[in-house]
Amino acid sequence: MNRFEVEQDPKSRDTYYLNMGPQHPSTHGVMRIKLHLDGERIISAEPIIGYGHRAHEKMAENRDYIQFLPNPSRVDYLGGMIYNIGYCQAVERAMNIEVPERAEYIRIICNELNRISSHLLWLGTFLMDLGAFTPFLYAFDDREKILDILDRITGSRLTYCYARFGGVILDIDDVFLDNVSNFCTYFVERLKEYEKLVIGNVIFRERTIGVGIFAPDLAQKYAITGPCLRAMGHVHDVRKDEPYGIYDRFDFDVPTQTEGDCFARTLVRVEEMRQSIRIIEQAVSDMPDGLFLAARVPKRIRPPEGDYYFCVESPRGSFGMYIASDGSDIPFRLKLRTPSFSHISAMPAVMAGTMLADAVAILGSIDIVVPEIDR
Amino acid sequence: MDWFSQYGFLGALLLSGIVLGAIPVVLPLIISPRARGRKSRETYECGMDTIGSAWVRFDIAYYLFALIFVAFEVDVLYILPIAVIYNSGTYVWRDFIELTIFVGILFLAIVYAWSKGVLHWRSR
Amino acid sequence: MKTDIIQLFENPYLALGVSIAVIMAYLSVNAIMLIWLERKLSARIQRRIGPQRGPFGLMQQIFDMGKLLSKELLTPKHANKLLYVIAPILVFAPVVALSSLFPITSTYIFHDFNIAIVLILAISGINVIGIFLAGWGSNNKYALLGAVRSVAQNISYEIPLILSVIPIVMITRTMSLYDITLAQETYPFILVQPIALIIFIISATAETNRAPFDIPEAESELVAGFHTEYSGMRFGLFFFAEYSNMIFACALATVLFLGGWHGPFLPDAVWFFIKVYALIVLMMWFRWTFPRLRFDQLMKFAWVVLVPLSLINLLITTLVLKIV
Repeated sequence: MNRFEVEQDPKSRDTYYLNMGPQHPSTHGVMRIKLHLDGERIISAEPIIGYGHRAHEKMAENRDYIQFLPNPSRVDYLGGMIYNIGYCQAVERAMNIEVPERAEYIRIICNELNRISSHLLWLGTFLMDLGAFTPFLYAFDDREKILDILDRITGSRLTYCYARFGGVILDIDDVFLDNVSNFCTYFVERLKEYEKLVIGNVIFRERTIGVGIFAPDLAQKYAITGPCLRAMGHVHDVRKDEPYGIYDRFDFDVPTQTEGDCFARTLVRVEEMRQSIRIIEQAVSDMPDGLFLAARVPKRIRPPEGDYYFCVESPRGSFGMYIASDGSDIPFRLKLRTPSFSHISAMPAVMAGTMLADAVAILGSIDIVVPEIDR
Repeated sequence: MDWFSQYGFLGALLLSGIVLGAIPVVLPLIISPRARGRKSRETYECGMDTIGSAWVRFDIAYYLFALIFVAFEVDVLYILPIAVIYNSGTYVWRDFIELTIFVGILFLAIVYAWSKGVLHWRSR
Repeated sequence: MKTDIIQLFENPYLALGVSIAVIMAYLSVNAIMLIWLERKLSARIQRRIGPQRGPFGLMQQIFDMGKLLSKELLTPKHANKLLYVIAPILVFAPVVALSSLFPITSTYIFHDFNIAIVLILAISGINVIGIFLAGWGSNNKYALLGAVRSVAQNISYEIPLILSVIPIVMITRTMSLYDITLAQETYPFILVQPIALIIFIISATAETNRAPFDIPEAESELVAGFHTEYSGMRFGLFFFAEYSNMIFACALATVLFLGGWHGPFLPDAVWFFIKVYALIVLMMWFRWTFPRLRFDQLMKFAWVVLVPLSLINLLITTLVLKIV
């Protein structure tokens, strides 16, 4: 018996404890939420994590910077490309490695395609949590198209290891650019269909409007970032606030809503997909020729002694990497700041007082990826 | 024989339903394998050991629905015999007025339940 | 002229045996076909192919049945054994008796009761008890939640269901389903009672625990609802009963609103089944299109929208009947 296994209070026969997870259809992975319920109402919720812990941070302390390259995409398997590229960018900044123009553009396209695929998966699973099974398969169908495009150039479909320090491992071709622009035109139309099918549905609105409202002070207390923060009315996007790579060259909006409920989070994410398409279209039309991998990259990656922090916008929020280097080719400490972990920490505050069905909706709407929580 | 051609027939069908329902439940006892796992007969709660029994005193909100239901169901069943003879005899407008009063009272029951907050789930 | 099955065979015991055989054969085939239809239909809606075993995937259900039959029947250690075991049988039991109540053709029927509507409502009520026993007997919190939800939902939607039937009884002045069908010779009652039909379909969808009213077995919240602890053929019985209940709900709607066996060119029974299966396809379409409601919203919808609406519909019917 560990400290979480609180015995049921024998005096209170009205309430009961219910394990939601680790093996439950709507926890999206191996995670457990211990609910204290009174009938259908949640008195308190306690997320219990660690079932999928793989010690990525510890691994980083035992291998050099290049050997750690495949790991970041395993931390968040839905935003693998963004994590992979983000890690490279962090090391590049520490080492002052110049990245060729073409590589930067390729990275932007891959990043945003990855973001759309992650949001699509979220849309599908969120609606499945609400009981609608059909949009799930529609979203997966479209996501498959993105995976095919990325698969062609990177060789993998989920856990990418495409970026290298100083660029990307393989050059793209015209077929890739054609595929991407075809997908963009197709997907803009599809997005309208999704909006009609999902956003306009009365039952969907009933289930999401006013459900799972993040209180205004919650963002600061729990470091909420990403679409969840933007749904609360804060304009915050790492791509805009502290542009990394070449994000400052692109013209895109940061969609926000003010309500902070599940419905607002849905609207923000759907609009974000549209903005990603805008970025991709600009990147495809401006794609320069040149090198895809910097010609002069140091053979041994040894960031100068010191602390480095680098932050990228993942589909779920801001993903930060804190590298403490002692000047050797093995990081002294590599801390990963993952958005899902912050969001799941806020769950007790958000879920208390709601109904059981709302808990599922809230958990679905914040878009958690369990391996990212456990790392 | 007359009783049988009426409700006895239906009762026999009901009984046969129980017998037929028992067959597929008994059959696997003979043909199915047996598991020997220690945990296979534990209560399922997402793979964790359960915390306390499920036999708790459950939320009152459900029982309130049961109470309105009992009141309503009986009242609604009273309308059925009226419906069969409605507008058939020498009632002229009497049956209409009486039914309107009856349904009106039923309406009041909903209004009462509504105002007492039965239909609004308690928040917190 | 109608002939019921006892008059046909002149020996009530023979008639009983034949009835049971016919009904069980039909229901088994029907359940298999409906599961197949649901899976194929959902696959088409979701741009998938669906089951592929055998011609058109028809064998899939036969194999599934075999699999369910050969599964071990686990009884949870902490369950109330008696309640746990009898619950699926109780859910299944009314199925046979209910089937015998519908007039499928104009000539041969099982039996024509003059209070058939009340009988159908009463016998289908047994189902709810079975579901509650299943949930309570399992001693599983998910099952318990599913069971209380199911009971609250079933009883709440029973009221608008009955209230939407009463206008038909008023128009025809009979509760015999055979006579109600006869009264629709010239036009089906959907033309005079469209609101009642809509209320009936919604309530029937809720009564059969199907999406968007499937909260008793909402898999994203309650894993499997009241049958969480059931495996093998015990689960199969719940499944069987669910699909059979769909048939009854749609058959009742057909008799009351769509004119039963009436229709041109084709034989009686064919028309009856065409109408029933058209309604079933509609119910399946609901399931694969809509998200699920939350429980309090569901209850509110029953008591705040459906019950008042059906009462108003009833009053309007009485008024119109007086004037016309």
